[in-house]
Amino acid sequence: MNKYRFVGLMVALLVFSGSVRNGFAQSSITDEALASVATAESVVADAKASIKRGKELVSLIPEDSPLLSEVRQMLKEVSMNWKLAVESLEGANLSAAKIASTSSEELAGDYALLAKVNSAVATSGANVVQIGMAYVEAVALNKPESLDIIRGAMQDALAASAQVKFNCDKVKNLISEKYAN
Amino acid sequence: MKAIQLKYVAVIGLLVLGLANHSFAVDAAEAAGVMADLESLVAQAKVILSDAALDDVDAVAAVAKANEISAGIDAAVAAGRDALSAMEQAIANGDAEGAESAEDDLAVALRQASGILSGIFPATAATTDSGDDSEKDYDSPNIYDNPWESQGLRDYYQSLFGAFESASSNGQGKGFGDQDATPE
Repeated sequence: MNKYRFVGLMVALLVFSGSVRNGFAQSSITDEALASVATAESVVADAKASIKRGKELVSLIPEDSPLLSEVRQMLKEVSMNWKLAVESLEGANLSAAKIASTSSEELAGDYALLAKVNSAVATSGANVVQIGMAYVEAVALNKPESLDIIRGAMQDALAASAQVKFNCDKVKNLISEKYAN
Repeated sequence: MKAIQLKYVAVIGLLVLGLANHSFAVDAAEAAGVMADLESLVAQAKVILSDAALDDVDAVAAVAKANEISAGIDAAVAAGRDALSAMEQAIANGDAEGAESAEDDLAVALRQASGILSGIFPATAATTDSGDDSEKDYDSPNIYDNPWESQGLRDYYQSLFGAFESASSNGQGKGFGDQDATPE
């Protein structure tokens, strides 16, 4: 989807959500979850496009490049986070689909929360992918001045992604405990 | 880059409106969810930073701006972590009021982070308020700004402490009382 159309849709959703919130708290929870899922889908799509571009750029890196081992390490992180992003996006979509089908408001709220946290995991995982591909681009297009910045960004993004996953797991555990008792 | 930021702003706007409306009867799961959203903004800020590093036109300015955004979001996330920790502690101690207060702090952290991602920093947020400026004879207070928490003031106090430490008997100098006023 065109980015600008997407942003327009998001803003429209925001306005709509704000205007009807008082009367329809339940539908606004659903709106928030759906907006989070839509954002995650868009960011994952961006990451997918960057992977496609990265594949082309990797071939430009000479085999005797001293940075090749670091590129491999980046690609390993990218691969793990891509898998995480895709799986979490699937989880987010599953949770979002269940919001409408449940009759209990509380259960719907919990599904919405699950959709939101899974979307956050998918988004941060996709962000890690984008940064890894930025590193590949910097090496392939010979932009050594960018490398240190991207390395630092990658470290921070990996730490943030792990924190997002940690909080997502915490939410899942708390919700599981609620229904186990 | 701008489009990516905008989509986040829209979604975080929804989240903030949600926070305002839910009245948050101190729900640990929901608070952890907010924290997940906050932490994911860190990764987004790092994407902006890495994109800026590859900027062909003016990488230096773009990186400086991206660093500013990133630092602001890091600070908001740190505040959010503190708030979440305080909330969990308050819940464990049965302190409902403390938990609600911490939850409010968490909501403020999310608002700050979303504002920063869209380029509105806490220090400038109040000055962007609409209204008739000619009527104002004072600067509007910025309710989100904690000046004592700014990095500049921290550095300043740290340097004062460093100067004091080095001049004291514990530091490398002889200490205020031991140092000769005039070399004889």
